[in-house]
Amino acid sequence: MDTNIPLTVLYDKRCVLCRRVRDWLEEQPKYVEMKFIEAASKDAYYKFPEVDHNRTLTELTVISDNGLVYKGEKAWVICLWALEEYREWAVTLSSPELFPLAQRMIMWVSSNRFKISKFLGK
Amino acid sequence: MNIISTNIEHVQEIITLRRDFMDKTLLAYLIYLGISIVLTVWVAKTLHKNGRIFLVDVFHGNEPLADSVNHLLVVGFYLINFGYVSLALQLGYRIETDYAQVVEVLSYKVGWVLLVLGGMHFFNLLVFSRIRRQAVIPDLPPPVQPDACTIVRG
Repeated sequence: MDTNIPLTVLYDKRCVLCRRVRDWLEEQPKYVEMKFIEAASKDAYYKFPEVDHNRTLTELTVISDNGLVYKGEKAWVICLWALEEYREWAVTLSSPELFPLAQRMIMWVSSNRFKISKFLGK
Repeated sequence: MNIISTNIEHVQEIITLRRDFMDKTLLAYLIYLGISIVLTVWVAKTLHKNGRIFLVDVFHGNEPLADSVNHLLVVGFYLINFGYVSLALQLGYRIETDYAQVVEVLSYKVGWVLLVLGGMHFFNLLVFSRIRRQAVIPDLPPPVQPDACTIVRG
């Protein structure tokens, strides 16, 4: 697999936490280009006609320009993998020992993201 | 009677002095230096030879670069280890008793040299390992498999 194909992150614009994470990701030095599109927006529907866009509102979805789709925890791992300073982390987190734990944590953050956003203010 | 016993004492003294072919302290120092230098050179050569193989791989076959980094590491290794050997040489007293004490002094000092060499050796391995990790990170493939494949427009 050619490892430098740009990634598109479909993020939930209603969620403050997601917006903050998106801003943070944008600022990080990256090995792989990352583009950000609001989940279930017109652009998203146009660019990815076959994707279930309702699901992208509840589950983080990252799609590479050659069509590979990563959802949920895998999407998180791929985002970290794209970053220069966190690629090693991404590999460590996906090890068989740590991935189940990472999965649970990501699921928890994802299901509670609106509560967390309220907690963060704004 | 007195003259004879004095003569006997005198002869005994000469015999004792002759058995002492070299000052014991100096002997200990020379043996210490000999062993320490040989050990240091041996470990350094091991590091140099095996480190090179490792570094050539890390630098993707760039042999001049690997040789350069290897040489720098080995120079540092020699400096620190010879420095330690030199500093640790001094005994602080003269060996006056017997050759057993020479062995004791040697075992103590050479023991420390070995420990320091061992520590430096592992430190070098750590450095090699860090260099390798840093060089390999950009080549790491995605650690997860995609969930699906889809069409991308535009």
